Amino acid sequence: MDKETWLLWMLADSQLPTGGFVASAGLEAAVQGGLVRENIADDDKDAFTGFIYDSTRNQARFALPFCSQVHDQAAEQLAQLGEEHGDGSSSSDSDSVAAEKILDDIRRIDAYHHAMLASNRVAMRASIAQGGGLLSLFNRGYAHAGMMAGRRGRVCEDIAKRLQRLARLGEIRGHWATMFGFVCAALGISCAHMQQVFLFQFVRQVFSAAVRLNLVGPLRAQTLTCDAQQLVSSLLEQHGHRRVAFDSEDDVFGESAVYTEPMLELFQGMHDRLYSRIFNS
Amino acid sequence: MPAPGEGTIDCKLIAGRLYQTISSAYPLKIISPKAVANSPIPNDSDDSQQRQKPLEPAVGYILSYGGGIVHGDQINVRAQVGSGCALILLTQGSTKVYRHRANRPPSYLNNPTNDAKLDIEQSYQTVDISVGPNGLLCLLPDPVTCFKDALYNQRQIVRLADASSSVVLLDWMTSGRMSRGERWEFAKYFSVNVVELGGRVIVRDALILEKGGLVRLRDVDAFAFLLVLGPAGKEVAGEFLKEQREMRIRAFRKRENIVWSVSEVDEFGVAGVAVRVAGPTTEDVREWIKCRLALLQNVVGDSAWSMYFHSS
Repeated sequence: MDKETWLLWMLADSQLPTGGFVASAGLEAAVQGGLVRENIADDDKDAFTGFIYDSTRNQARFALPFCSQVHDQAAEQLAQLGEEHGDGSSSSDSDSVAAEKILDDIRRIDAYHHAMLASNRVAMRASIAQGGGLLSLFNRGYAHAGMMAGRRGRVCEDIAKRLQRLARLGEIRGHWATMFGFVCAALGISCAHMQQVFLFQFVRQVFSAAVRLNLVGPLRAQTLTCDAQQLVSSLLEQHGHRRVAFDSEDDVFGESAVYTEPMLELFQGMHDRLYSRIFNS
Repeated sequence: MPAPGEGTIDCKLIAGRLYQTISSAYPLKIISPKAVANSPIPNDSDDSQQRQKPLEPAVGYILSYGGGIVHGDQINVRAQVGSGCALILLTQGSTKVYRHRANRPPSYLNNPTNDAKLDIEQSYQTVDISVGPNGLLCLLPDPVTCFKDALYNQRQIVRLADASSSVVLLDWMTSGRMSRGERWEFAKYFSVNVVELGGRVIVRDALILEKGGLVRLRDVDAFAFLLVLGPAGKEVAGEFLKEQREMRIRAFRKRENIVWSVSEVDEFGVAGVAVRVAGPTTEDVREWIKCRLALLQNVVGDSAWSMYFHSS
């Protein structure tokens, strides 16, 4: 049983305790606002599947680049740590240098991601809540697992603890996409597999919300989730290479992290005005 | 003499008087009519301490020759808003973006500073404005209308000196030449709004719309993004939040004419709102916005305000 595959199944599990079940990715507001219709008949499912397509594409173009960027940088640093054969002092110096570098990278990327969510408070809130949940999960769950023993595990545990402290002090927000990138790098998951599970989770979350909102039945949701494989595959092919450009001078034509769904953002902003709702966002 | 497509606007207060200098080069033109400040509000209650002191207004119109932007055009507007000034930037009519036309040489070829790597099939506009302490920038253009197959990129950067600087930024666009039945037929529209505070990016809104991905926008013909940040925008921001609080959405079958939402923004001491509005016509959205920006009159004065309000 391959270690990475085992971990991927754990991350894909809907029981993953990061609080994702209170987020509908804007679907609840979209339904109440009339963007997506309820009680979809078989031949009228276009609005709903269109919503799934558009919001998944948005996730691939907006959040995924941040996740990938953190992963790239953290994985590179961690790879340089080498094997667990280092002795005491010299390796602990390079350990803390690596940890500092990774922390700095994460802070910078997370702050930029935050700026891109600054005008969408509902999405920002959901992202921070889930990111915080994932970081806690790492600190109190994965960090204690046998497979995290060893030099790499120790460095990651150190980083994760410091991230949590910084989050409590308000010096870092700890968004979902950036924390996911870090946790996957820490767990030794490859970038490609991380990207797949990142988008898978998103699709699964939206369908789960759709079932609870009575837009589709659970069995029909399974059919549609199957079909979504093709969508995600093509999105990864088209957009998996994208990363974050920190200066808009570097991204004149919109090749880096961008939002693609203005109406989704608009309806998400309405979420707190919903008279009755079951989701937080 | 600025390079082709470049323009500058500089306004500052010297000994209580507003001085404004502008420059521009084809295909860009900037003109600035004179605006008169409101007389100071009498000091009659505690209230007046909290009320924003009226700023010295300056108005600029950003225009393009022929009323449009064509492929390869690079427009670059830089401005400085001095302390105690309010710069209102307007356009005259919506910015039309034309598609690539093989027989028209792109103007960028005449501009030696242009990066040869930039794609001459696309057009690009930058507006880069620094706002001094206690200054206000109101960027209130008409909407951008991209024609069929157009490829357009724009970037608005607002650099706030500190938390006493303010900005009202309107970034909006329409679906196309609706009268010709063209709706959402442009190839690409990419717009970025960046707000920096002391060199740090605090808000970045980056939207890309590409052909084939506009299913959600089928009932909408105008979409606007409005940012109101800083002390000079406090009254306006407050009204938006109030209106949102008083509205409650109940699930309904019929779509409303204008759909909108407001998101509170609060980053590093800069506070305000981000508003998103969508509607079936440009006029609906325009009226909705103008109505809600009315309180700016108290800050920029009636004369400058009426130039915006009565435009188009």
